[in-house]
Amino acid sequence: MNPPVTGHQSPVTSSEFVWATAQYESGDWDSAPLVAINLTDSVARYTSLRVSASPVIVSLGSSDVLRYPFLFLTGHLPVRFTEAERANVRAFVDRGGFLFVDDHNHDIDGVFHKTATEELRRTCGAIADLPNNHELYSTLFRFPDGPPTTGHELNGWGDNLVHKNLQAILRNGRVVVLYSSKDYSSEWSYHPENKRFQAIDNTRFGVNVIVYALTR
Amino acid sequence: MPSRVDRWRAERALRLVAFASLMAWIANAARPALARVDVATDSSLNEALPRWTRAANVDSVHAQLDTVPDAAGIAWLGALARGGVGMSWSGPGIPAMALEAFPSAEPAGGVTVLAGAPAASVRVVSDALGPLDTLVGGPTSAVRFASLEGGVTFTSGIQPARVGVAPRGATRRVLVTGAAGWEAKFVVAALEEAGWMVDARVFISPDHDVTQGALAALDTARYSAVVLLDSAGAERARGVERFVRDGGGVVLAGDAGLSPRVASLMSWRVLKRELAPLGTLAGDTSWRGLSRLPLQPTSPARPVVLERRGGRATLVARRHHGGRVVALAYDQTWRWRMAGGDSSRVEHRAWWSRVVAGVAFRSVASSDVTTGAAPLASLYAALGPPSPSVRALPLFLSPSALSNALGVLLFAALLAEWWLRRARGAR
Amino acid sequence: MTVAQRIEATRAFLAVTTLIGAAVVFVAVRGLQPNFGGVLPAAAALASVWVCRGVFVRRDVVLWLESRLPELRYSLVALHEDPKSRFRPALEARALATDVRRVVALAGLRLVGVPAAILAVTQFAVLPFLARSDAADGSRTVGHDARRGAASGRDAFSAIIKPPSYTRIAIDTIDDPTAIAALVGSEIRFIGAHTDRVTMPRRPTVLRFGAGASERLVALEPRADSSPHVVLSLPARDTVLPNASGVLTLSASARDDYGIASGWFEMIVSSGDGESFKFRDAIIARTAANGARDFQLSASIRLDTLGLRPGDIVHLRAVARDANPASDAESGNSETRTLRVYRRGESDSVEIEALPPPEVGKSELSQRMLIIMTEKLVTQSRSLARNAFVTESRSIGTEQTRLRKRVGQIIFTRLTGEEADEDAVEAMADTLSPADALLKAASDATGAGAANPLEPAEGDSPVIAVNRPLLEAFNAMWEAERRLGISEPRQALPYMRSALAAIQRARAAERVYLRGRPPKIVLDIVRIRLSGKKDGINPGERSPRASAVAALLERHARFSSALQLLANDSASAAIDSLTLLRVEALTDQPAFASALSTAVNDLRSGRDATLSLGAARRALVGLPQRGSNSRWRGQ
Repeated sequence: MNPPVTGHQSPVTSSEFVWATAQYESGDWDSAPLVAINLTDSVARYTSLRVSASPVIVSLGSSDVLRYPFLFLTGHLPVRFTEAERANVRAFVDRGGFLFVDDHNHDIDGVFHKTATEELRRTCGAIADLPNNHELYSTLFRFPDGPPTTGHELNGWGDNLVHKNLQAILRNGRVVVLYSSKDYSSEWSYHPENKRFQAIDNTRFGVNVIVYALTR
Repeated sequence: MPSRVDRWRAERALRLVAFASLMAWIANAARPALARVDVATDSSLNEALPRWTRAANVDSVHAQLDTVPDAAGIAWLGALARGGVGMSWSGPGIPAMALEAFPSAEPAGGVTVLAGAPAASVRVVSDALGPLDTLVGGPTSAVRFASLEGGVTFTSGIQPARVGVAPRGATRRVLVTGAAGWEAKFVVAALEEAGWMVDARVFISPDHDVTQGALAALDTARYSAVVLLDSAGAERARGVERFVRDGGGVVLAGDAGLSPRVASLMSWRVLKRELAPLGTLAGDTSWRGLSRLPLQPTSPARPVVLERRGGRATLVARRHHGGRVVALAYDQTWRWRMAGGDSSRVEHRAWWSRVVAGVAFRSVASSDVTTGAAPLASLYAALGPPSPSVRALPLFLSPSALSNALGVLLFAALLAEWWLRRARGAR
Repeated sequence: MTVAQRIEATRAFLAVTTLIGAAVVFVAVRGLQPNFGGVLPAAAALASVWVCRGVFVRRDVVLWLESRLPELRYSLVALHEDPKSRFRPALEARALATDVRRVVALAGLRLVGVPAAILAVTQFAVLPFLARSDAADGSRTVGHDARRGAASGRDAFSAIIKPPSYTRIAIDTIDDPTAIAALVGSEIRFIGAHTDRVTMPRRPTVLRFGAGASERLVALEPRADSSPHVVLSLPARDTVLPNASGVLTLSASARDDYGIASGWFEMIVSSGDGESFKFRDAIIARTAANGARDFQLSASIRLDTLGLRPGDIVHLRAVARDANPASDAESGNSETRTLRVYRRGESDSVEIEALPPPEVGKSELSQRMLIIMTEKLVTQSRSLARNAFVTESRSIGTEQTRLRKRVGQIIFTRLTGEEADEDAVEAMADTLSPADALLKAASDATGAGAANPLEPAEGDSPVIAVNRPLLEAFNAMWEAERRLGISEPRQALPYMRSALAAIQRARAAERVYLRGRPPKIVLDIVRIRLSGKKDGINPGERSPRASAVAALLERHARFSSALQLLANDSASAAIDSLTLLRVEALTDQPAFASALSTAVNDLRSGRDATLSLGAARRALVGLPQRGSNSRWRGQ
């Protein structure tokens, strides 16, 4: 039972999980507006975690990012951090935050991928393939084959456009930055009510990521 | 050339002197025997002790001290006193002081030193490697040192007090339980980073938990302490009261105190949640994360209030049979770690580690209060209260010396008078 | 000035110059052979004083003056031997009339100048010659450097440090080194009692020379070459361009600690919107900096040559490459400026996703995949065996059928709001006109009976308009699968491409731009709580984090062990332990490493190291923390 609360509980002061989308200067940070609400819906469906029904958008150049230990960053365009954004991302990761970056393009080694990975490497350290048996793939649901493929990936039809691994930056064995080239932003960009059309909810992996961020 | 009158006057004077000497000699012989007190000071005590022990004609001794002798010296003085030697001591300049040092239960180690001495003196804490800290302010101080070599020496002026530090016992595991969320994540992270071995159970859904470690029943053989992060954690924790009774420790954080399961451990109640005013920084130690559920001690068994913020108790502690209970008002300390500033991560970690160490079960026996820990008290215990300082007579005023001197004077006066008479021609 | 005073003044001047000359001799000899300490130089200085000892004796000074100045005609000698002579006034007059200054000055110059000349020769000729010959054959120790250790001559060795050539830093030599700080990649050659050649690594390390009691440790402390610092001054800020014309001026400056190889501007042009973008990148004005430490870069771009269209975005930044030729040397980058080309309507419409999920998106890529497969089959038609060709063609056809049915399900659902039922499935299997059959089935399901439910009536929502291109795609897929079924993939391709285009139109139609506030999706957390399917939920166990204090504790234990060695009079072992500890701490505890360096130097020099070791301990574990005088022992 929760104690009575004095005053309005805003996301700033409540301790619920809040999906925070990073707003950055250089690109189309808002290219996947439905992902936030869809994943929030999924967290509520599968867990009893306290979750805010109102995802937020937080500027990467502002120290407000430190209020939200889970941050999602996506886009199609080049990612170039400003000095303020770089400092905030560095502090965010150093203090224990979890940054989830997803390339909204479904391509190989495109402009977003090259620029984002360069910025992340310069800011947070070496980025490498995450093994497909990492505990990220078993935090809530089990994904024995690693990251689930998305509908936007071509499944090995000679063009090798399937990204077999996610990539990550680790600190003391913990994932602090998770990088995806699999375009989950497109995969999860739909109204939450339309989950009922799916035989298997494709946002389950997103819930795994959130549970990992909250428990590891 | 002296005249006959002069010689005659000199004779009379000499007779007077001889008479006076005789009277004084008789009076000196008749006076009651003075007690022979042998006085030793700090510098001569080491030489005096064996002499006092060997000499047969020592009536009484007096130790006039500026500093307390070492344990061996005190024991020797006590033995002399018990052996029948009249023992007294004085030491008006010796400060009353006390020293205690005990190891921290934190995995990173450390020693807490409690020291007391008159505030006016120069007070320095040292170890085998040299000075560690100079204490200022009130007469008592508590200082935590991350590292100490050898024992601890506390000096007030020139008087030292010394204690050894008991070895720290083996650190057991800590169990953390509560709803999955940022507070659980960062509290477990802080404790693990501080070196604690953590078992954890965080609740994801009514049917599923995320666990770590071979979760066992709460037992002091396995766990030093249990941290209940919220009411959900408190509700599901079994055997907490028995665990604390047996010597374990429990930390009640956030709204954990609202659970009836832990009511028997508390002598306070949890008040309504308060939020920090707009603009408050998360690292502000008044808030440690922007919200808190203040604690209100209830009578009659009031807890020790360890921290107050804004007039509200935010950290309280009490003993419960063999164990300890600490309650925190804070429920969002993770904000302090994330948004508190450059050093917030380290501070958050150190704070949580100290809180858990404060309740952790420890199998180490309290260190005995050794002779060196409270020097003046040790002296009192061995020799009783002090006597006023003894002013030893100068040697030449001792009865035997006076008797000899008066005898010589009498003889000399008589001899001189005889010689003057003979010189005058008289017999 | 009387004659006596003059003689005294002369004697004093000559004595002072003699002593100065002796001091110069001391310095010269000491510089020549430092390993002998001060013994030989002191002996040389004393010898020079002894040779000129006459300057301290008045008689000798007088005789010397007489020998140098014949015009004195022994007047000074006479006055010195018989001061009360009756010929004194005349003798004094003659002595005073003679000018002794020139002679005395020359003598003083010789007394100081000769030792000075010796010093100059040793410093500028002998020692450099010896250093070069040592660098050439390595057979002798080099001893000109002022940094000296306490080693005996027998164990003396030196380190010659040659920084990377791009830095243009001179070669340095350290005698009896205990720690060498140099750039990563510097060549280090040890000569003398120990010989070796190493390259400065990236991480601090310790070299060991010798063994047993004569083992020597040398700490290698790498200094990293930092990447250039680059500032983009023009354009000064992000901009929205009204149109893509005019000249854009670019200006940047770069600064580096050792040198810059080259600099350029990097441009990325992004075109497109929504989900479809194209990118172009270019390097502009690449210029060699030739190792300069400060570098200016400028260029200009004619915007009309970039082919920019409304909505395009240009990202610009300046880059400077370090002169360090190592492959992993970092370049320095400036902040990025973003230039957007204004697109009408961009700022006053809001993109929302007000419709059901774009399953068509999946269809599009699956269709694209099928096109690729078919094109590949067509190119291989001549090389493949007939059977294989037919099998592959039919296989693609089967996939096309599956996809068509999927699109049909979407159409049915959108029209009826329900999953495709048996009638719909049967309709989609119609071999003549499955589209009409599908529409009839949908009509029957809804009971609408509309003749053409896909015609958007005035005021209809865009939902209806979406389905027309879907139906076109459905029809095109039907045509394509028929041709694939009869092994005519080349003829199927146009229909397949037509289907793809129709799907893309359907997706584009889904992106509806409306004016005003978009409808917000409100989640009812309470309603949806735990409503998801629980199958498959199986949380894995959490693994513990690594302790952040374990390394500190280990380091502290080693520090205590070193102190114990000191207490047991094992100073050299303690120094070695502390040296190793210092090297390890250089990266993550530089304050502790610095304090240890002071302590080690004190121990090597035989000084009392108590204070410096105490300072090192404070740097390792932190300052004492004051607590409250609470009855609570735990606090």
